[in-house]
Amino acid sequence: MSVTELKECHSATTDTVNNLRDRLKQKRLSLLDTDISGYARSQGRTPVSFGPTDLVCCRTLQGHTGKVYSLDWTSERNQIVSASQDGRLIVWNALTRQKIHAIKLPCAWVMSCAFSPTGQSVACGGLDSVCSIFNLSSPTDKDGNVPVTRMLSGHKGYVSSCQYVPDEAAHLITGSGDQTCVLWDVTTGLKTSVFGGEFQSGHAADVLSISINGSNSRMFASGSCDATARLWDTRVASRAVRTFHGHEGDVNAIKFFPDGNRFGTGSEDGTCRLFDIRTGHQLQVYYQQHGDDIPPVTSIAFSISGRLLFAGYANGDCYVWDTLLAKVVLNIGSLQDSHEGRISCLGLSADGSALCTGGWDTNLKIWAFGGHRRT
Amino acid sequence: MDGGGYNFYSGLKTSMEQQRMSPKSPLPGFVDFHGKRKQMVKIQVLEREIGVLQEELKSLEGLHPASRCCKELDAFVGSISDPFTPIKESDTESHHFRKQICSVPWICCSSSCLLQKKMAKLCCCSCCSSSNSKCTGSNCLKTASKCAQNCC
Repeated sequence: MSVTELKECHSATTDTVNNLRDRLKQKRLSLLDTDISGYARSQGRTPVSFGPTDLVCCRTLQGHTGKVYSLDWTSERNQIVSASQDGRLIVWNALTRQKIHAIKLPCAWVMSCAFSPTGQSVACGGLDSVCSIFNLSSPTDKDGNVPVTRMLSGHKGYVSSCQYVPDEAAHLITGSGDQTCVLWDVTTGLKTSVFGGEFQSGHAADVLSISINGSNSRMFASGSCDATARLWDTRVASRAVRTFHGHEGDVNAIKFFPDGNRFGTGSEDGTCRLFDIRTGHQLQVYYQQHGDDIPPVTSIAFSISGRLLFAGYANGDCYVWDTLLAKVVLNIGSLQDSHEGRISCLGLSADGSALCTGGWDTNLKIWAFGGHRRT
Repeated sequence: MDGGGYNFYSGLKTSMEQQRMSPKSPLPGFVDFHGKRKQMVKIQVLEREIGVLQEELKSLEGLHPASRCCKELDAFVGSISDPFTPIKESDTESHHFRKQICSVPWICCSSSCLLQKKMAKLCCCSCCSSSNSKCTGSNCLKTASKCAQNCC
């Protein structure tokens, strides 16, 4: 075939793909007989409502001198690791506000951090395209810094996100600007599997976020600048299990729902969405006007039951959504003592009793519920 | 004569320089081959995508509707106790409320805490019993476990 003929073939094949996508979209729409809010209303679900003092900021963690970009809780011990544009990771005792470690990073442009399941190590990644591991028990060097234990090198683009595989301190997954996700063996520093990339079906643009299924750690989801989320099985790297369409912009944030059968996403298009992993259905869109603009969603987290979805936005709002009725029940961003400016990251403690938010004002804040609750 | 010899060598030098600066185009066949490979790869990627889409379309046959997923999700949410989920106030809740406050390590009796007034009414721990007392956050954290033991 000549180049001209190949171009014609490419055009025809593209038309076939678009046609199939349309048919798929129509078929999926026909299966959406209701969304979650429609179902919950039909069941007479009582809306969640918060009084003015129900959610309080009970700790402010001060110490970073630059924007906070990422945070992660330990699975025990109520410690938090945070990453900041000031080029440091700080490990905090969230209860006492003490700084347990302040780790100076080899590259200041950090985008993500994570605690290992045992709490013994932290990982971080950023514009250096490397995921660095620090063992917190290591003796400090002559400058008092915790040395790098391992560098996971191999990505051809920035590391946007990283998470240890639950209950496997030796494995970690990263998402990258090179459009791939990688499963690493932290002990050897080598790649175990690459998800997507040049020769495999995967994201068509930068990967911005990942989330590992807490109920089945072989499954993880990734969000990308290609406006899709993809579900992966770590045993099958050649192609995604499923691709989830719906968003109209970068998928900045992704988190599995507590039951492990759904995940939520937050996007540049200003919406959060909930998808079912077994059927692929988009179960709910969470969107509310913020005034004249449509601020992107920067970060999301679910409460332990999944009844609440916490979503941080680029304009400083932090909405608490009633996931069943798809209503905003509170804006943490408007509360007394809230952040000034963007909330860039947030995360729930392992026992679900506290929410930590991190912002461009260099602070982290801990929020807890102080009213009456169901027992 | 010198001028002629100079002109010849300078001309040759200029020509060689020009060749280095602007090499000749590769043979037309070579460019076409390179373009072909790129197009073929693009088509292969699309054909793979077609296969995936056809599989997905097939999988939708007989798939249950979204309402079943909504029902499952609703049942799950209702089955898990959530520290962040409020309930309505009632007289019978005061015991549970006391239990709640003393078991949560985050909410303390510091003077900046918005719950201080409620605590003064309901909690029996010494640091909170007096509405005039100002206990610091760290002190209260130390006594939090004692509060849990003594009050609840």
